Amino acid sequence: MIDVGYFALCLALAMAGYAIFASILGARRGDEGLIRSGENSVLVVFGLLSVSVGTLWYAILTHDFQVQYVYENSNLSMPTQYVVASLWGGQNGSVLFWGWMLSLYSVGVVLFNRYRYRPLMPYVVSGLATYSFFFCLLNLFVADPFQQLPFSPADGRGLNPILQHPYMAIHPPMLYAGMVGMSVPFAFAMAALMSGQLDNTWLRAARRWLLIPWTFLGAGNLLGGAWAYLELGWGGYWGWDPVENASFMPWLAATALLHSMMIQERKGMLKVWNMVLVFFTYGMTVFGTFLTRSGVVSSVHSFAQSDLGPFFVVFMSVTALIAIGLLVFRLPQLKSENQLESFASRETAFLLNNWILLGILFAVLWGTLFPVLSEAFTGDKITVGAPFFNSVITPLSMGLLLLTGAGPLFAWRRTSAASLKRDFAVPIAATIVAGVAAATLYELHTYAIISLSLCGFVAGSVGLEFYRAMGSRHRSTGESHLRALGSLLAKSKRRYGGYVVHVAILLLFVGFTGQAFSIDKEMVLSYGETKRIGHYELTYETLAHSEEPGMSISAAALSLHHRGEFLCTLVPERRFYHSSEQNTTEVAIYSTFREDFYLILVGSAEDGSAKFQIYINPLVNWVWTGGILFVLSSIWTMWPTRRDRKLAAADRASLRDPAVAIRPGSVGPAATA
Amino acid sequence: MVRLLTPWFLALAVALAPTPPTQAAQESVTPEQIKKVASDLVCLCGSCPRESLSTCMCTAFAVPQREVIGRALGAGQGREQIVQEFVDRFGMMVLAEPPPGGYRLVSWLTPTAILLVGIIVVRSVLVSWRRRTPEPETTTAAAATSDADDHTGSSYDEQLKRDLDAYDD
Repeated sequence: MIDVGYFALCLALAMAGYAIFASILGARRGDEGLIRSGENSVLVVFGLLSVSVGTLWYAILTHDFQVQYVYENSNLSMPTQYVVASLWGGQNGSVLFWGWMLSLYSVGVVLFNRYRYRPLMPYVVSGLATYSFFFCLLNLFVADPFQQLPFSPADGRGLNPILQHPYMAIHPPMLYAGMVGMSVPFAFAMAALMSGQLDNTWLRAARRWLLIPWTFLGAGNLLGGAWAYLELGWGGYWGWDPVENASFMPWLAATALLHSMMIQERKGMLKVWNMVLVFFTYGMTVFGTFLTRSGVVSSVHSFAQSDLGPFFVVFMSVTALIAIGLLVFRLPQLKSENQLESFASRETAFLLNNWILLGILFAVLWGTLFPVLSEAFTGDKITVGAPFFNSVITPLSMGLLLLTGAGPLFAWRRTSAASLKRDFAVPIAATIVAGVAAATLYELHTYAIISLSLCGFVAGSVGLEFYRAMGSRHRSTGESHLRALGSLLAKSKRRYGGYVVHVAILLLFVGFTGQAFSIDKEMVLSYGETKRIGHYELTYETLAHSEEPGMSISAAALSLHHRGEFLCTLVPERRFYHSSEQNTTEVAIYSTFREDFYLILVGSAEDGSAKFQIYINPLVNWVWTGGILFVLSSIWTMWPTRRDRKLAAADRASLRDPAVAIRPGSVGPAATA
Repeated sequence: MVRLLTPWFLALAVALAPTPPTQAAQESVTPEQIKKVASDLVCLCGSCPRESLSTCMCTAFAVPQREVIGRALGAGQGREQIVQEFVDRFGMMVLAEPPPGGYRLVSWLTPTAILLVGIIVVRSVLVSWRRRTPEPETTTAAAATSDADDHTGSSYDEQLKRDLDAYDD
């Protein structure tokens, strides 16, 4: 049975190779039949990889421990949902799953663009097929998930216990979808360079395909944070671990790209820079995958050391050479169409936004690689931990927050001094109110007060944008203000949906700032003993031990009161997993929008007394709320408008007309859409 | 099934058990003092993402090493001395930040230099864009038809209408 999966993988490699060949040859000859054949091959690659993934999944679900991957990543005592998730829990399975996701994206690109972007499509398909070819190669030669043991073990080793968490079950697929999806905008950029279609067509196509992985990456990072908060038991959600950084860096690059793309669309400027940013964003995803999977950096999230590293280095180098070579070749065609009229303009704000986002990215990259470089050049093993990242990133983040608020206040081309004075008045007032409120509610902490003040600034700026647009619409259409708000969000998803994304970022920053006021206490309690922490009273009620399949559990019950009023019973646990001989903590949290009461059972003694670690973490719920809003508003922003649907229908109609055919170097109807 | 003792429970009990010779001295050491020293260090258990030794809850490394810090503080050792002892035992990788001196300097100077280079590049791009610009016409008519939305009255209304018409249905 398992051979079916391997055979399908071999065929997928061959079909991906054919897709590259057919697409390039089709484009060179202007042969629509070959181009379509290349596109159809991509659909076949998806089908074959689905068979491959399905076969491995079947082996996992039927506990076929003779398959080495199944033996190493699952066992009989694991709950079914985590058995299912073990498909992407280990190195080889996740590479296969990654390749399958790439083929799914490729199918999406082919099916959605049957009638659009025709001059670009053969090159897009060949680019995506090349990446699929690479992943099939990896699976066949260095990360074979179908390798079999010479005997059939009675049970498997099981998935790392800390990964057995609902968030961890969905966090990796989210990140994979984000990382692998960045190959689509890259493919469109390369297609533009290869075909010479260097107008804004590729940019429009790439933008939507960039928003999808950008949202997945953001959501994946937040889910990872939620998992760390609930599972790792250290009271925080972001530890600047190399693997966390590997998925954060492409998100930063993509965020910079989303902003700089607007300058090219509106002003025809930054054409070369946008190409470079697309390359860089994609490069960061490949580099991040390399970091995670080569064993170059040590991390709890990373996969075991493997032979994948050299393959990635070669792939990255060849891709970079081709991309840079093409860019240099096309440089004369990538000249700016406009010039800057005034420094006080949105163009300047976007450039500064790019500078800060990339500054943060390089700081994170440097902190992540510094230990590797140190060991390589001096032999000294050092750690660059959270204190470094927090010190460097915090001031830069303040700058980013300032620009998030200030950007919308600047007009394209130029903004008059009078307009600036008038437009900044409300946000500055909001800044002062937020700053005073923060200083009153919390202790004086410089960065935290600055951060909350700037959050007020962003709120004032975005609020002003909505208020003015609602008023304008009310005047022109007679709609009520509330209805006008709905109309703005529905009709201009891009602009006003984008502002809602800014609100989500603002909520995230409010939550991040709360960490500055975190309180932590460690205490030993005896049965029935009550202690006061902040404005809470905590009473230790009881402790129980139990045996569950594959693990021993110790759980303490504590009642939590606030000024004498009962709030809830908290039950923190410690678990011992027999197969991996590993301890984990299961924290108990009483959560409100004001703060989280976060309780960890550290250990217990024979007399029943137990040691607890307590954190009072303000504003954490704002992070999760901001995260949910980020995902919803991003989906809203990328959702097709009625205009998009009309354009797509027009493209379909025009291409069904036999008079419109694709010729080498021709500009299809979509190019003018 | 409820059990009184499990293997891990024994391990925790051992970790929690006071060490008799230094018990009195250690009792005077507060968890906050221990955490202050531990915040300079990271956990090297291998199963956590090198969390701060002050917050990691793993019983394999962090909990017993905090006990070590508690005993050292109880014995009258200072923060720097304890940190140095950890470096001697586990190497420089136990430090949460690159060690002071050349390493820390390089770790800080590089991102700062990149930021400075970045702002110089941004400035030169803006200046070169501006230099190529012909004198802008600033007539009222030009302003009214431009996309330079000054966010006021009727021009703002027109701009919004243009945007909604241009980008959406």
